[in-house]
Amino acid sequence: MSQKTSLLIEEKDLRILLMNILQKGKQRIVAPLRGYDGGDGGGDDNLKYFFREVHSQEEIAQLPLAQFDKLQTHISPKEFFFPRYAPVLKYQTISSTEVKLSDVSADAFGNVDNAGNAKETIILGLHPCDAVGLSLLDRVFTWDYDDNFYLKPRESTTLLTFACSKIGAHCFCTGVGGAPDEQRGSDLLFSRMHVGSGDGFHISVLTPKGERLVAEHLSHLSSVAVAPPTIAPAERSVIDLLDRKESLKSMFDSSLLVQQTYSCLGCGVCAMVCPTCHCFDIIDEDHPGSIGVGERMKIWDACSFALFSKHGGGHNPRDLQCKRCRQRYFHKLVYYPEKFSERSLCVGCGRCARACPVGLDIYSAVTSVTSATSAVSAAAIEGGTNGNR
Amino acid sequence: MEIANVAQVANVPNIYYPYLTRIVDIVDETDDIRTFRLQFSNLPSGEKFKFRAGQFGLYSVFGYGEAVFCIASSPTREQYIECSFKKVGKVTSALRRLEVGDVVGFRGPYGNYFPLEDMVGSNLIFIGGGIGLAPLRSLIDNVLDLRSQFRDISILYGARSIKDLIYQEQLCEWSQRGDIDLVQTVDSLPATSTWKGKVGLIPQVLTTMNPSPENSWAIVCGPPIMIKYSIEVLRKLHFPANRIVTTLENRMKCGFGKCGRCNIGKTYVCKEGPVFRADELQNLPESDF
Repeated sequence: MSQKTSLLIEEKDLRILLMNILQKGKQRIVAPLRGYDGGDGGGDDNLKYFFREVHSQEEIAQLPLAQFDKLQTHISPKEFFFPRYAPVLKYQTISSTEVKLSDVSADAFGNVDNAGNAKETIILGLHPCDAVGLSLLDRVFTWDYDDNFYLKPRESTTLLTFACSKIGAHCFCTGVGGAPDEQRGSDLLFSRMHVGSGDGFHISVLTPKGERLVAEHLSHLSSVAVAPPTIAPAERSVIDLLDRKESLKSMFDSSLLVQQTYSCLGCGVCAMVCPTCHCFDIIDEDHPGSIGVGERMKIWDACSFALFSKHGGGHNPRDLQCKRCRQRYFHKLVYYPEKFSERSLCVGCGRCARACPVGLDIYSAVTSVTSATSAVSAAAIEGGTNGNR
Repeated sequence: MEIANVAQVANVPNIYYPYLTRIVDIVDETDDIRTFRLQFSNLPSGEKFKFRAGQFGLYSVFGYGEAVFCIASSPTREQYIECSFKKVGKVTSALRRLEVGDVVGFRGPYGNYFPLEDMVGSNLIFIGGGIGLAPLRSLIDNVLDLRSQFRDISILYGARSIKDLIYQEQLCEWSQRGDIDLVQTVDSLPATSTWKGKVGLIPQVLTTMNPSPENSWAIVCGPPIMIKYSIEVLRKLHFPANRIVTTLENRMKCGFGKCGRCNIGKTYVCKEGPVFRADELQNLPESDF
């Protein structure tokens, strides 16, 4: 994608711009907001941020724009397109011989009205890894069958991404082919730099959606011939997981992979916070007090759950937790990349590592397993003692 | 890849929106396996439901959820579809409570299908175990409706016991036809039985049948262990791997490659399957089955 235009904006002007957008009311603004779950985030400041709709000028006044290049939200912005729990249709059983079905608005966040008309949304303050993640999810939700519950809000949303100036303790985007200032998936890419008399941003306008937003709200800024600032290199040295793919493939039945994942509890939090995990269940939810009247829901699920792949007849192809971990790692680094000719489904955001209650994560598991000099390749999985949870 | 008909709702296609069908016939195959014959009740006028033998769908009882079964009837019999299901959980229990005239939701057809065109002019041997006869029956009735295009047709069908044999009425019809060689077997038999078929496991009976691989296709479906050993026998009988086809099943929710649970290695059973050739099976990781 060629870079079309560069703009410079001072931080205070960006805030005024956001206030104007909110006031005009044509677009909704979604940004990292603090304290959704009321907890203290376990001492990690970043855990206090969730992508939520901004409703007031006060909220905009308090947006930590100067932190957007550093703070990471607890959960990726995928839930605006793939909500954790959202209806796909309504059913009304009048009698066993008569059922009425009706459609629902295309998403739980109100991006689309009942007539299917898109409501424009701006998501502000996501990181390049999140934007890349969405472009990877696009491939899944358009794979032969277009899932409009995902696509409609996606089409009507403009992504204002902030390049990362600090590499977080768990980040490894450069180890999966990404970069802290990667442009893919973003409509506008903001890079922090000194502008005019104070702090500001370099804006790279990357897509027609980005151009439209600029034309609508930033026409007073003139294009500049300034390159985006160079983003500081990673503070932690990152092993390239893409170089380890073949090695990982050869470890499919390795006891090392089993050992590495002994501690997994199967809680599924890695999938919940992941920007690219997209497994879901489909369930019927009757309205309280009703039988056969309710909504069919699409609800987040996770391959690490023990019952995820269990057959009705009792057989479970992934009967051990280590097999479920293997499924997750291989899906990210082998299956999806091979199927869609992409580099990796893992974008290296590190949320799984930060959220895991036992300190497991794909990066350390895969690097550790593939670093072993002598591959102990036995039919070890069957002999694993990890139990069938 | 043929894409299933997708419902148009409020001008936005909704891939989760089912058709409504009505039960027009119910057959109890065994104590816990039941067959429904379903007719579509809300197809737009002039539109016909089309599918290919081997494809599957998601059947639902509203308020209870969806479950995946193959379509067990032939695409040549266009007035209805049939499915056979065993009562194992919430949805299948709810389905069992339904009666003729009641509504069943249906999404589909999904997945690939048996290579019918490639089989034209060949001998066909169908090898089915238990409820695995259901997907085979779609293809069997399909080729029987086009009988002149195929050469010898043999069916080997087995179940644990006589009472576990499904489609008994149809087995009876097939056995009376002169143009099908039907062999039935059960794993074990009570002492007083008048059973005229064979006793023994399917791979053993298949070995004694000794079908010729010459210009033949073998189509296998049943429990995983039966598929595995039947393919081994067929390979020993020199059936080429690319002329042995089977149909797999895994837990599924969406049916179209998004919900993430039916894959074996990188292969999605719902999209690249459920029909696989034996040479394709060899490339799937065994410890992921």
